[in-house]
Amino acid sequence: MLLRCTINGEEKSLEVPPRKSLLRVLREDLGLKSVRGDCHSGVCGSCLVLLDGDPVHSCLVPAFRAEDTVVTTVEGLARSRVYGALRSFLSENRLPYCPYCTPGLLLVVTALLQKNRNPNAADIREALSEILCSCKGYSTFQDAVLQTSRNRFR
Amino acid sequence: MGDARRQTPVQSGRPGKIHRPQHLNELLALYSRFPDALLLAGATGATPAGEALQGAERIIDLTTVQELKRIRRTDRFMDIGPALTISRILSTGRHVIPRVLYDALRSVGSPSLRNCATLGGNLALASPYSCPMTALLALESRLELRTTSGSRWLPVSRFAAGHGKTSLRRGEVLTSIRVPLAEWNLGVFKRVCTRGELAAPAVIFCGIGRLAKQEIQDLRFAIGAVNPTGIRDRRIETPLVGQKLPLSGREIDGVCAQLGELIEPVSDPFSTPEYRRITAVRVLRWFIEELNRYPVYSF
Repeated sequence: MLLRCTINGEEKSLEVPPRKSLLRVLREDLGLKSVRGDCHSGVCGSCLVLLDGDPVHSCLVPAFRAEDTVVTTVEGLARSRVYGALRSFLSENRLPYCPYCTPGLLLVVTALLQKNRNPNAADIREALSEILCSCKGYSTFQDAVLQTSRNRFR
Repeated sequence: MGDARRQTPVQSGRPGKIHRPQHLNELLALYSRFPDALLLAGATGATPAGEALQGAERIIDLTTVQELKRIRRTDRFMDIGPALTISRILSTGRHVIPRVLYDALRSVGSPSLRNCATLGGNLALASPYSCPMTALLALESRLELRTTSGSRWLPVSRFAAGHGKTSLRRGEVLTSIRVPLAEWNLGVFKRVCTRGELAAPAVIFCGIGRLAKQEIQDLRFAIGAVNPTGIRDRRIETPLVGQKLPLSGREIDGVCAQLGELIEPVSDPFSTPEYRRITAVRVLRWFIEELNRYPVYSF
């Protein structure tokens, strides 16, 4: 079937098999390697993308559901101020840019800050709970989000 | 590890056909023509990597049907479209939907899973571990089921016919979930897990009641994840209605013993049948003992 959608700001039109997941379309057909498949059951969060601004597990979303939607992966966040601020925090604090958890963490935080300009610690914890991270530590990332939201909306 | 091609099972069989009806009449006509088609709501229970989607020759997508994505509220009830995502229902607000249902919906998966999962899909899976199903049982909700030839209303208690089995007839589609809006001044929703929040629960408890002037005016409770279908029995609740608080130890023991007789626990890797039996009775005992502290204890 023909899938038409906007991916990272570019309008795309591509032929996809009806039962293919959005994850496989993004990785195999579009070469967006930041989206990874690990658990394939919506638990690990390495396949997280934004669908019309909401975080979803792309391994669970059939590709045809992306018709007429806006899909954002971490590649599409490059010009976002939130992304820039969080990347700076990671490098200043010498935190690893892990290819499994960091893209998902950046996406959920961007989605959170777009909806809630002033998130509290509980909001941030809930958003970060999407992703299984064993490299950075959730509290460090929580501090990064709080600092970013304060700096951005001061 | 990172390559989806190596992780995802290879698609087999014919390529399959997707139908995306826009309106209810279109959906019902399609489903009566292809009653073996897979009705797909949030797709979180039938992942693209899962067998259900791979095996289906024909898939009908419910999320494009406008009539299934509406919420309507009157003074007496709330009609929830089964194809609405759980996040969308939650976004109507804690004070709009009954509190126990709100808490039950919040306990479904993670926030991003709730962005896809639908309430109708959750019910149609007929899982004993469904939190919303337990809350809807206690709230005495009803479901509208439609075919091209007519419709019928079914209490939630008669919808699940076993683990993974529903009372849906051939060609029938769940089109509305009606939740009565009564005045409850207490509501408790609890989910007991043995292996953390991500695991299937061992016991789900939902209790609601109306207490006034140290008297139980109405009381309902439902228990999920214990039997293959949710437990709700008016015969246990009725003797408590009209009783003055505090309840005696003998009355509490009687209610717990009655519940114990109804339990035929499922066995799975998450918990043993004996643990389920003991915990279900303990949670009920805790709930009733807390009633005795009314109004000191606030739910």
